[in-house]
Amino acid sequence: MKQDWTNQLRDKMAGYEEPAPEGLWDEIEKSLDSIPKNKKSHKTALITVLKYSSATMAAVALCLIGFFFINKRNYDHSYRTSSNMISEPANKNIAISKNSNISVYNNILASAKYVNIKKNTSNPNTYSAEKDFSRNILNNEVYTELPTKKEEKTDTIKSISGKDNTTNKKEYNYPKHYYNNTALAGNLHHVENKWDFNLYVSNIPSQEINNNSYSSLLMAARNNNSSMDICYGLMNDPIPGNKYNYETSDPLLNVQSNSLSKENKTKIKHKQPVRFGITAKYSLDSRWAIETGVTYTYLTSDIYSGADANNYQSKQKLHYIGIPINAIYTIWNNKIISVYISGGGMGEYCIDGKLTTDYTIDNIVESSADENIKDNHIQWSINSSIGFQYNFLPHCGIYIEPGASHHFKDGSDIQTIYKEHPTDFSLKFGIRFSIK
Amino acid sequence: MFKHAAVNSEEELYKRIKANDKSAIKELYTAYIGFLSAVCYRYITDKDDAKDILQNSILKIITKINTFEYRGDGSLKAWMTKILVNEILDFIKHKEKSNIFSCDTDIPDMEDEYAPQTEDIPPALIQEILRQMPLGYRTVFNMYVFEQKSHKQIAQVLGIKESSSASQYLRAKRLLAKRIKEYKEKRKEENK
Repeated sequence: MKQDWTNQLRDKMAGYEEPAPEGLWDEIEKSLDSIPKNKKSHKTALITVLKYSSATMAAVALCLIGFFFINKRNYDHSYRTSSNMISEPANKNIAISKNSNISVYNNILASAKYVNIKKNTSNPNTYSAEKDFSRNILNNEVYTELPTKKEEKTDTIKSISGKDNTTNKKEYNYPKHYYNNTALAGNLHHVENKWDFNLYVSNIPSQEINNNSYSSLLMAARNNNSSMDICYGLMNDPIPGNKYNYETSDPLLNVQSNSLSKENKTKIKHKQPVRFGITAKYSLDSRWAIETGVTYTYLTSDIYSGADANNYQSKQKLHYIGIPINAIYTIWNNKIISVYISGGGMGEYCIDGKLTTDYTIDNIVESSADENIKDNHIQWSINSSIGFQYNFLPHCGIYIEPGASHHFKDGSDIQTIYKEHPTDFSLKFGIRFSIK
Repeated sequence: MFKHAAVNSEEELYKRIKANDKSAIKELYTAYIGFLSAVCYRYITDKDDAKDILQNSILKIITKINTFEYRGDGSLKAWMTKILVNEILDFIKHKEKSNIFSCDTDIPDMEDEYAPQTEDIPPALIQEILRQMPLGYRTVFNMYVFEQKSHKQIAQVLGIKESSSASQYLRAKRLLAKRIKEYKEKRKEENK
């Protein structure tokens, strides 16, 4: 009726086309290309470089320390004879422990008191260690050699419980190990059998590679070295930006904010990652350990783009499974407190992801779309951290691990906090216990 | 391989874009930019503004196409048009809102029932007539006729009264009919 001719008009105009404005596609292409460049040119790049450098240096330092100790041990090992072993280790151990106590005192302010206390209490024990030499040997052997026989396991347990048992036979089976441990790795180790086990347990750092929060369950499956570590940590992100809105985070959405309409804004809010992990640790000696396992990380981001009445709101949920490999070096420890550094890398794979988008036009949610995110890239990262552990029970301790990590570009288009803050600091808390 | 030949199929294009086929994006642009340009020019008379809006909309389309759900032939075109029109309306609302009501001239003195035959009218002429209309008429008419919005929706989007939308539409319609009539008469005279 009334509408008839306008309906006709609509049909008539449905196929009508006009030439596009000149140079439109060129500018669109330029906008699309310029996204990554824009991102890098921000002044945050400098901060990123600095953070990256610090993480890298930490990792390099870790490696150097490792080589130093390994080389030194080889040297000492080759020039010692077994006849020296009984007399030398204890004496040397005392001397070293004094020195290292001092250095720890200087270096680790927070732990200074504990160090001194330990020093006082441990020296008499160290002298007496000659008497209980067999226990020392046994424990050191555990650090280095990880005996696999069941009877050895029981021996260790007995010695830990403070009983002198007939473990002397071990002494001659593992003299090298004993020596190596005391002379090389045992800077601060009090050669005290009871404490050795506790110290050893506290040497197990959480295995988190990344800065991000997660909790970790450490399961070791190797005789007495087995330990279990359960930790839960929330990522502590001191760099502002983790939770604030910014306009250049999503390469896709960024286009819109770069585009000419000033009314359009894109905001992305990355929420704190949550990570859980189960890891197993293998102790190479009294100081060094490696660990690996499986982690699960949950990343969420809220994305908002558009103008007042017309916008898109997306929620991105990503599930990552990661495999970390870490090297752990214990700087200092005693019965209650342990200080260690940890460094390594992790590969993470996005097993599942979903992008839920509400498409709002004229203030009305017109449509909602679910999109599965599939990505075959592996997110690699490196990390280093320093850990402090407090043992409130003989086989149970809590720890805190500040650290830094760097996530490398994985080549995917998925926008994550890893890309936004590839290098970041983190703080992890956890609980850790050993199982026999 | 053969799939790439099916440039005209909306669904194929969509699938290829979803499969991260970069060339499909350019093809999508080439296939629809003419239509989208026409839609844009129907609302926006300033060339630079139109270009900005088109650019913005195309970028939006490219970046958000993964959120689009294909629902049969024409749905992609409709979706793209919707994004464009939203972009246009945002622009009008924020940049030219004051002009929407400042155009109360030229009320055609014609009965409402007049329904011009548009079959033999070239689309370019209709486009030109629409572009020459005052902003308020043009916007409301475009939304009502081409985007098929109700006056209630138009009023909501533009922040005007529903009655205002209805009256502007009516005036626009009359004006268009008058212009078409004038064109026909002019042509008749030329043919004589």
